[in-house]
Amino acid sequence: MDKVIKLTKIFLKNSFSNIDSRMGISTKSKSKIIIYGLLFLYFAGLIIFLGYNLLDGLIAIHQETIFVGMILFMIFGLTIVQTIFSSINVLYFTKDSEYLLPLPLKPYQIILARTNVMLIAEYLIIFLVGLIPLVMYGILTKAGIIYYFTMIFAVILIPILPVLLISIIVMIIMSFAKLTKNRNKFQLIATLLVLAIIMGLAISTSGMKQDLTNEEMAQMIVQANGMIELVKGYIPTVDYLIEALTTKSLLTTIIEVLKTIGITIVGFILYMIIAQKIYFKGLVGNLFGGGTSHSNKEINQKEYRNSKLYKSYIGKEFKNLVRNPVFLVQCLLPAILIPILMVVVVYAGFNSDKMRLEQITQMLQQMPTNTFMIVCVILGVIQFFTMFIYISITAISRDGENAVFIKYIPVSLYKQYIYKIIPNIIMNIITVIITLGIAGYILHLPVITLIALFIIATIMGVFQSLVMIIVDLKRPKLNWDSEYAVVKQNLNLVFPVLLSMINIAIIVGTVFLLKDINVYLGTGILGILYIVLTAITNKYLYNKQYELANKII
Amino acid sequence: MIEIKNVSKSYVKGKKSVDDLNLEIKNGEIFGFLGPNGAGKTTTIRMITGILNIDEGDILIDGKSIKKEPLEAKKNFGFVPDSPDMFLKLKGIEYLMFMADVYDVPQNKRKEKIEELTKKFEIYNQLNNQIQSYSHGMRQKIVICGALLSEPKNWILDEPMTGLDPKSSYDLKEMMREHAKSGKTVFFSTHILEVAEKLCDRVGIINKGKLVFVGTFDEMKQKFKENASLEDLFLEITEK
Amino acid sequence: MISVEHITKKFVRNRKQKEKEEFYADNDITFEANDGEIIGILGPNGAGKTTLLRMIAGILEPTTGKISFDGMNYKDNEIKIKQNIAYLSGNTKIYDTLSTYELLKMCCDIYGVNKENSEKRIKEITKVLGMEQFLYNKIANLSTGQTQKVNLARCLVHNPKYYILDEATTGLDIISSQIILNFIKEERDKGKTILYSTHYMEEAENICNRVIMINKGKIIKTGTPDEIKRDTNTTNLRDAFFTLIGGVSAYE
Repeated sequence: MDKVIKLTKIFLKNSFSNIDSRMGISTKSKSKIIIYGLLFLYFAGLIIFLGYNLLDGLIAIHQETIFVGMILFMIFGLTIVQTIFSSINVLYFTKDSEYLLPLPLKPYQIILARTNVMLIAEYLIIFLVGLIPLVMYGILTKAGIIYYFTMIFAVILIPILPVLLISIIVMIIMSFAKLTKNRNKFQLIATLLVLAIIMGLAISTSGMKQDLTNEEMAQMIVQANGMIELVKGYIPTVDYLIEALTTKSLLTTIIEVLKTIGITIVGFILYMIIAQKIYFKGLVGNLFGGGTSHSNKEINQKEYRNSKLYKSYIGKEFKNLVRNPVFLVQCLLPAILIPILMVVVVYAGFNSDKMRLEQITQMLQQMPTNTFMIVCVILGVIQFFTMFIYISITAISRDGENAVFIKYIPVSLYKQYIYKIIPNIIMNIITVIITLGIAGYILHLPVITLIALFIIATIMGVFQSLVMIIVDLKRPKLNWDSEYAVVKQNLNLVFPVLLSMINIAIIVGTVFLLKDINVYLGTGILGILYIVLTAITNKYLYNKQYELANKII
Repeated sequence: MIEIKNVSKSYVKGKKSVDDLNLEIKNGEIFGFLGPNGAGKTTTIRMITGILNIDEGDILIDGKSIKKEPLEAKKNFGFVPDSPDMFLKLKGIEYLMFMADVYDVPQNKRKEKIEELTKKFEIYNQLNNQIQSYSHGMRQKIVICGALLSEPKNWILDEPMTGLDPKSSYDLKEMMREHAKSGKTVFFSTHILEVAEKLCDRVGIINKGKLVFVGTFDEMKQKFKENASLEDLFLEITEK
Repeated sequence: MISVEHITKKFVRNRKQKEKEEFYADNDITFEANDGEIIGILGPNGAGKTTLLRMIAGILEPTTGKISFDGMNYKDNEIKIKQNIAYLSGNTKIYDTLSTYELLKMCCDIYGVNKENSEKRIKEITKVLGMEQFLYNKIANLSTGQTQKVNLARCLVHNPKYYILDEATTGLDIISSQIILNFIKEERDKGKTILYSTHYMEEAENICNRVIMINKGKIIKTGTPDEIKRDTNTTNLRDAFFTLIGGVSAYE
């Protein structure tokens, strides 16, 4: 057991500390703490705000126990989603496996330590989104000390089963992966499949996601409650813990908690038995297997064709994004998936009540939609969507230690920066087109307004891409051991969110200032503002192209 | 021709990693740059190739200053970095075509040049596979091919023999010889003295940022007179 | 003593078309390494050196054949064998957010070296390899030579009996590689068994008692460096190798 704890510590230390520079310049830990602190406060505030409103409403109609169920399910679901992304990387794509295998460690010790890493990463998030609302519930319902004890048990116990479950699924998939023809393609397909399942789940459950402040709440509550009742039969631990947290009898609490612990232990034993059988086979196959495809095909004469540098360079960037499952999922796909997912969720939400949808569409169409206000709302929504496109913010970091390449080839750095952000701009445009298509359909906006919106949103996309590559140049993360570190354990990813918040603030500000302005005039003013901002940023990037590359060594 | 004029560089204030370095690598010459790890070899190569800024002094490549006309200067050399782990997701052929586009290799020359280089290094059959699937030696080879595609006048290679098997390193050395014979320049760093002895017209030894010796290999032996082994010679020079 | 009997490793490589291609990374390899011996394993890239050493280190399972360490095999005594092995490959930076000392401490814990002994052992290794200067620095900030020393040190904390070293000096300068080579020689004189793969033929000539030359997964020659040179009528192992594979015949 001692060895397991040691290993866990090492894995954690290795995956969470980030090295900003190989030159030994220590990171400014103060600024890091401040950023993390602010982020924590921001999210905590958000959660408290949302949670309080919801809980307050529920208490008013004496349905507060539903809140506990909702939170526990959220923890469960969140763990599943997070683990899907982290488990493949933690279990299979860390570089240290070759070093661990010759050590006198029993397989279970390595498996346990790896599992611990995933669990601990889960706990960090769950303490934030799960514990805060549960404490709030305790305070508002004036719960006793037993509630808080049970709550801690619940938060610790719930994530375990989903982590084990997803890990086992990943292990099974990966032990087949080495048999497939092309490992890369298989990974890609597996990742897409998992995403599709999540999307499907989100869509099918989106019927519950309705505005909770409306007067039909009671009926909705019954629905939500029914949903929880329906699902919890399949997830016994959550079921028991809901009971344990909401009952007034101490004995019931103890029994339910013990039942949960029992099931978790059984699950754990099963997990260890299966994992010991299949994990190492898949791992070794992945590390050194002859599983990569080899083609001895003659080279197509077409391949020798000249192409313009910009085409070649941007093509290279796209290939790197698409052929890397991690980059594909984190950088490219959100541009397409997020707007669609959002719309589907909202649409399905309305659709659960057919009458309402028609009424709303009618109402919307009767409203004067072609106003500056609506334009700004759409722009804000687009901003919200595009902040998940991480292409530009990781443009330099993605190249890792090979990033110096840009400095010794005879192509101007500024040009290369622009080539590197073009994929971001293109994905941004795709998001904009999807969003505008949907908005145009629902709101019946005139074509000219849509075109104006498209132009502004694209300019904002260019602006965002420029700012983000400057951020990445100033704080590159070049020394990483798996692609995952670039898109997840990278503090820089806060910046797209920050910029989008600022942009939204600017948009809201203009709406307040220019309330009843003509739609075209207002759009024009916003457009000019962003053209100026973009031009300034571009000028900065051009003038400082060499200084900005100083961190790339 | 590569001219290094009074070049200094310090990462930390007051501690020079490269100190007032002067070197001229003439046309038709293979120049070996020797020194222990951490002596300033890599720093020097990074400055020549424009990866690092030069604090003091200047470096000219065929008369073009890497400081003032970086793009022109960069066109004049092909560089092979010490780690070949690059563009792993590209296929071999895609990488080579990308490099050809970067260095403006004319259409009619590409096929011929790629086939010549990759067949010589025995990686032609692998060109349709992702570089990721290559072994270390093969990655090294494809990077070298990429750097030599544009037939640059100056070759700059950082530890090119590391990880190459005897056959490939033999081929590479032959290519370096041919290149120098045709009046062009080869500048490479190494820590294998035998390689330097058999291959280089001149060698330079750097230690603690300072050039401690420049000349032919025989001159080096004479200067330090010992009949001792190469290792001892090297130790003696660098420990002074 | 490490004995390797008729080891074969078969990989199935898939081609684009449906045909399956089987290829042998190692094919029918047999040899013995005695106590107090350095066995050099030589061959070009892709010859099967690394696969062979990985099988001996217990990372990969051979398709057929037997590997035993003083009579123990992986099936029955896996942990016991691994307790006595030092396996080193390449010079990748690993766990580079730790300091050298922390890494060594962790290795001591994993190998079950007790507290007093581990402090003593770390001190010893630090001295032998000359790592005093950077013992408390983050590994990420070390140079290539220093990193490789750390990598070697990492494998030594448990005072192993068998050394399996894969390209241990690749990328190192003369001084750093000499320290490592000297250390290996000393260990040999203490009666340890050492397998040493390299493609620097000169290096192998200097330190190995016996040499095994591998090409395309098969042993093409074994013997002491002198024997090999005599048999092939050459003056150094590099030429001997070329003669044996019938490739580039002479060096100059």
